[in-house]
Amino acid sequence: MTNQDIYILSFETSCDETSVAITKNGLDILSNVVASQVDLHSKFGGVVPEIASRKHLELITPVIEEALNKAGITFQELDGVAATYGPGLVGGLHVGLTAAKTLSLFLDIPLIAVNHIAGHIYANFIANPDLLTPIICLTISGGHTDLLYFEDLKGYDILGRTRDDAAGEAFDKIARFLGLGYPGGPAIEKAAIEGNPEAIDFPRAISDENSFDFSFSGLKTAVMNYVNNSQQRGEELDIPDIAASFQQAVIDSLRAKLLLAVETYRVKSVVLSGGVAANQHLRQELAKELSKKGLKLFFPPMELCTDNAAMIGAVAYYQFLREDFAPLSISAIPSLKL
Amino acid sequence: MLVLGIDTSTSNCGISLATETKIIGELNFSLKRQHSEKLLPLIRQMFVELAYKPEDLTGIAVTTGPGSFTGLRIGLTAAKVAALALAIPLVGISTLKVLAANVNQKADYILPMLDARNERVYTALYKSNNIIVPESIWDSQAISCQALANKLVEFDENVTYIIVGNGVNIAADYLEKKNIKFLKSGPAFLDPKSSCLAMLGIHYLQKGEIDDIHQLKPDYLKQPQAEINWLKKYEGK
Repeated sequence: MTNQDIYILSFETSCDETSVAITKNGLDILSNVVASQVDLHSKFGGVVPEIASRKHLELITPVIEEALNKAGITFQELDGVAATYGPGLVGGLHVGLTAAKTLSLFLDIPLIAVNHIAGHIYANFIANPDLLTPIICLTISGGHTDLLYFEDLKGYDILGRTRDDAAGEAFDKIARFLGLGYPGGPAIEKAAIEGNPEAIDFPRAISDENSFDFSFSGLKTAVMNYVNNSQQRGEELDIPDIAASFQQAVIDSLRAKLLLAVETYRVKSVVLSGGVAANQHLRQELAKELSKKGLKLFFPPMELCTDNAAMIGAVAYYQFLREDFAPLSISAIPSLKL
Repeated sequence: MLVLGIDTSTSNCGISLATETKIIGELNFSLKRQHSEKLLPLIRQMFVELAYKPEDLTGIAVTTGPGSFTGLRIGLTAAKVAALALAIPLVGISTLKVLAANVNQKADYILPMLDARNERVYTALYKSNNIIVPESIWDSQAISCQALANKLVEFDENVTYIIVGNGVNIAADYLEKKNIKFLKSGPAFLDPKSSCLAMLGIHYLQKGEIDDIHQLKPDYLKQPQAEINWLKKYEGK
């Protein structure tokens, strides 16, 4: 009897989560171990690359072992090994990619190099295997803000991306500026609960109506100017109002471009991906607007929104099927694009 | 016993394959920043050329630093993951000890040193009592050349030190000013030799001195810069 099932071990080490997953036939997650380093970096107000790299190395073998144990799989049963090779912090990428190359050589199984952004998108297909194409995908995180069009699952066109800061980057910078801590997304969202989103009229960067591109640096500057000016006038800052108004401005900018794309292309599904997709307020606002058009908004469950290796395994499976393998000489590419 | 040595702690990318009695193969490439691209292909090539298979290995030895932070992580990741996958013992060995083990001429003391930038070196002091395993006198440390010169005067100013490693050119002037007697070794001794690593590895593995795969980590000898800055700012250290 031939074994048709494909077991892949995947690494995700591009930022501050050390993650290893075992997937069966792409979308079936047997284990997805995520060791977060958030606590290590919080006092610095952002990820410190050298500290992250050191921690990835310390965590890599315990996490591999835990992933195998949880999945009930041995090294010898693996059909392939995958790793994120970009985008991300180069020191962390080296650890995961070197680990994957080592398993590829020592277990004699193919190496699959996966784009981290593709991972975030495919997290949706794990959670919602019966998504209808064509699809518009808004992928938003600390490193990217991309609007993509999928005719089918094999490939995609990039409609637009950020011209300056990524949405998640804006959240992190403003959270740090307001003294709300790190990571910025959850910190802003929490502070905004008590605030009025209409309190301050921050700019929405949607002036260029024909483009699908985003821009967040103007908004970031506007928030900083507002805070500095208020402080100079000796006014007390209403942090919840600032957080809520900033968050609303980001959401409005994202929604405007997403709706433009939905109107331009005849899509059957709309999906969200990336760390910022975990923002509940964003999900609700977008879902409400799309339901008016008879469209459902899909997003991955919380545990698949943040960086994790299962989503890398999902992409890796499709690459495995078309024998899209990487040589042992492949480099990490910190600024890899889709 | 068949041991794979992996050293990526300096610009040298070194791998070797050895038994108790013989170095079977050794590659030492000066690569600067390409260790992540070259290490695994070179290991594969060595296995192919020597007609060995990874499953033949019974142990792995890896340098644990000091050295390039990125280089150390690449070597240690490969060594740890390979040892885990093959379920074979792993031993980590100081880069400085590997440098010292390359010296086989008679001398009182061996002083390996690596460039740590800003007129500083990573160093340790060894006594050469047999040709395989140098005896450790000082632990690995990061030290300014000036402080090292003073320390050597205090330690013993009447002996001759054999200096190996790429730090020699940085420290030489400082040591000369203090009239410290030393022999500068040639280009063959500037980088660690992966064959020396494998032989040291076999020595320790035979004695059962094995490292825990999960616990083994680099000896960076330096805190991350962000940590140093943070301590300065918030704790006045």
